[in-house]
Amino acid sequence: MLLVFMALWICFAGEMFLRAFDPQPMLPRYVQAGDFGIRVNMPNQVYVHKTPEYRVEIRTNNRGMRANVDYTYEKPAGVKRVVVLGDSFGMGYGVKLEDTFTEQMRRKLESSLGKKVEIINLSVSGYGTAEELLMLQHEGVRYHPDLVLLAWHATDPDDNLRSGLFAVEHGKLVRRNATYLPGVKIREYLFSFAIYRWLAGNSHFYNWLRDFAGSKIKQVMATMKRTKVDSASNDSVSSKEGPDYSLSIALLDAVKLETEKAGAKLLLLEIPVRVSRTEYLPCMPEEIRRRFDVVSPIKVFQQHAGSLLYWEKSHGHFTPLGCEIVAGSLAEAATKMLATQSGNSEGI
Amino acid sequence: MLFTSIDFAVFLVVVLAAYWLLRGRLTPQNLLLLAASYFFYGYWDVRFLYLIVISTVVDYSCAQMIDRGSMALTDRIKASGFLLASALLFVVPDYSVVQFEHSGFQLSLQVVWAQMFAQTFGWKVFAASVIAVMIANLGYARLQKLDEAHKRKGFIIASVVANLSILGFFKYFNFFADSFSAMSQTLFGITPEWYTLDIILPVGISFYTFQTMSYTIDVYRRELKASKRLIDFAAYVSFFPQLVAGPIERGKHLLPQFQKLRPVPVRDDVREGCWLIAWGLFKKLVIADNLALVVNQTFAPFDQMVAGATTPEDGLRLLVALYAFALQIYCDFSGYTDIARGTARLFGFNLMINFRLPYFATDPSSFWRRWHISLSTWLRDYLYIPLGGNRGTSLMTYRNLSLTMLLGGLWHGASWTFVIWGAYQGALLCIYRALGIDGERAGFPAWKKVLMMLFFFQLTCIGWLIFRAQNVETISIFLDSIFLHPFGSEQAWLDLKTVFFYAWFLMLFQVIQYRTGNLNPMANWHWFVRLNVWIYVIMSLLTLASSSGREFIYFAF
Repeated sequence: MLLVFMALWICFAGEMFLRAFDPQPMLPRYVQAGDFGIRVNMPNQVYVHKTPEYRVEIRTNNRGMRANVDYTYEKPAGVKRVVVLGDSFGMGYGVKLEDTFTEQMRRKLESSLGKKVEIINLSVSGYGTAEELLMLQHEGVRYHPDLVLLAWHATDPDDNLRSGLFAVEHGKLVRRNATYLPGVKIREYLFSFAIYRWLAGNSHFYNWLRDFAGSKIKQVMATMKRTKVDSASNDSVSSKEGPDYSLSIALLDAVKLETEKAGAKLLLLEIPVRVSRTEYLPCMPEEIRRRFDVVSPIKVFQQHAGSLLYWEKSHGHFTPLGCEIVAGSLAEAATKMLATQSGNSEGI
Repeated sequence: MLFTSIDFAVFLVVVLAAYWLLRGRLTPQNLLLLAASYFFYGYWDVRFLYLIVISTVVDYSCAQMIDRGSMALTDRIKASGFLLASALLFVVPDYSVVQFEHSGFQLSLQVVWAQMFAQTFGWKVFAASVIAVMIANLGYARLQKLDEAHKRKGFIIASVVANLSILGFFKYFNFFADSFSAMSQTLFGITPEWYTLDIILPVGISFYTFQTMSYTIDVYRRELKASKRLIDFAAYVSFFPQLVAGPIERGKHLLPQFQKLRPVPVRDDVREGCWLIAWGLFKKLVIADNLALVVNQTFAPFDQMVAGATTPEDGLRLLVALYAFALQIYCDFSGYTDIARGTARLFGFNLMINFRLPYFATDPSSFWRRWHISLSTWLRDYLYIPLGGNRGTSLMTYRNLSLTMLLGGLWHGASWTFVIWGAYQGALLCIYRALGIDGERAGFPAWKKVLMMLFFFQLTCIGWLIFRAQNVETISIFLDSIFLHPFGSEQAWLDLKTVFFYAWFLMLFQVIQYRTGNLNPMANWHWFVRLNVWIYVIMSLLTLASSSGREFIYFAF
């Protein structure tokens, strides 16, 4: 009895402590198991992300995209479509929908191309390149994209290893596990309870504990995966950057192949690693830069040294200003790519 | 290995488990502690372990000669063998050619054997060690024939000279060489070009040198018997919890604990040990490291200051930075001591208290009875009292106080700011003594005491300014700004808020410690109150700890 009381009290006191001294970002993830073995956003949801720095409403459409409108698979005539693959950065965590870099890029593209542009944002928080490839194969290509934009984040190589969805064997990308649904079943079950939804959206202690435990588990799993991959590295393709990147590069090759099969072009966005308000680091290996079209906003970020480009009291997503800079860099590159594209990929 | 690292946590758990598996067996336990301590120290730089071994062997041998006038053949063989084996193990191999890598849980070790033993410097040190051992052993018969008084005096001088030579060379050579060069330039217009050497300061050298010196001096004074067992003595000199930043233990207090079996800690020992570790980590990671950001931001322009810099206007910000530094250095150093004491407690050892609420001091004497007690009592017992203490005229007492504090300042580091700091502390002691101010005497009204504390805290902070400043100009600019330009910019208030945010709990806790006169008031509190204090401290460590991973300030001393 005493132990139960102590456990409850620790939770209560922990909640009070965090509210007083270290308010936590509350960024609930409304995801569920998708049809092709990976998690997808729950459709038609409205929820709120709260941190000490911002409060943002997240709204998903009938296919789980972060959008105010629903999109059909058929592309309307005269419309350019950009399919976005990414994680929480791609989804636009931290900013209102109209401030996301994808939406800002859309407005700039419409202005520069003089055409209507639709953003098919298939990003899901927590995704790595492996899940992005599957999302493109099963969903993205069905929207007849003109451009596929993939947001590359520093965590992607570890995410790719951890998911176990693909591996590189004898120099070729092969499918391994049929599914990767980390905690999704439990999450779906828990989200069926109103009290849990309330905790996820309001309890600082719960959110802190989940993030803390999650990051530790991720570290251990990444370490174990790396050990396994290293053990099998005799017959795997090793790039100059090491075995971690060989899988990611093979996945990007596959994304490019799918994109080209769909008659679209692929553009990668490097999301710089923030060290401080004045220092940003690249996170992409050189081989990827060499082989793909990459947009990196680092130089422009450095011109804005001292400005708040990433939120600092949450999970470090872009601020509206950060999104604006990214959108500017992307729109410039995307305009060139879309303008030179042949007309046969125009809408049906 | 830093106390605040994961490496240390793993190291501690492994050593602690092995140690208590060996319970009831003194020699294996001491051997384990010795090996663990050398591993702990060698984590920084293996080569400098040899300095500890030299100190150990010299003082072990000298103390035996002082105490007994002779040294058994087996003890001589052990000491000689230990020295030579250490030279072979720590100095001869070039450990930079050993590559230890891990990917995930997969470990790999690569050694370039051809280069491992190729460095000539290591072999030279080994050859010198062989010659030294041969001379010592060949000369033993002649030394033994000396009369007792000469023998005692000769070996205490040998011990002190050996220890101070090592300390002087590694810590002060460049300082004195620089000063000599500057003087030579000023007086004769000549700058010697050869004067400085590329010397690395071994971590904690001042701490273990003073500790081992106190042992031989105590043996010389017949206050302590010389240790017969080399393992016990070597483990005492290198005991890892207090090896690199104290407390500077005395042989009288710590050595006997190595000479008998330690009791298995009971629940209260474990509780207190864990609390001291958690509290020390809290002081270091939550308070000291976070306040370091405020301090370093404010001091940064002055640290790199060039001549002709202008006086800043924001005196209040500089004052807040000084207060923040007072808290930072206290939490950094006392935090280390707490972790050291807590760790030692888990091994069944009892280390001395090094801090007793120093910022509650009303005068400088009281401050030095509360701050870095192990150093101040060392200076008192081995410097101030031998100089004559307060037994002579007032003038002689002032001289002795000033000299002691001057050397105390120099102990902290080879820099003129430390010398000035020492002189300042000496001056404070002399002035308070001359004015007959003793705020701790019974019957003093409480409000007067509080006022005296507040006033003396300001004087302490001026001392910390001298201590922290990288150059003399910084001191004058700070004082000028604080006293003549006491404005408060928005940044000053933000800094003040940061200081209170991180330090409020420490302040409250210390007021309780002071009011109850108990450094461990937790022991008397209801379990529910203790639970909440633990929750606060653990949650602070998990959420507010700075991720900057700074070294402890006193490692550099």
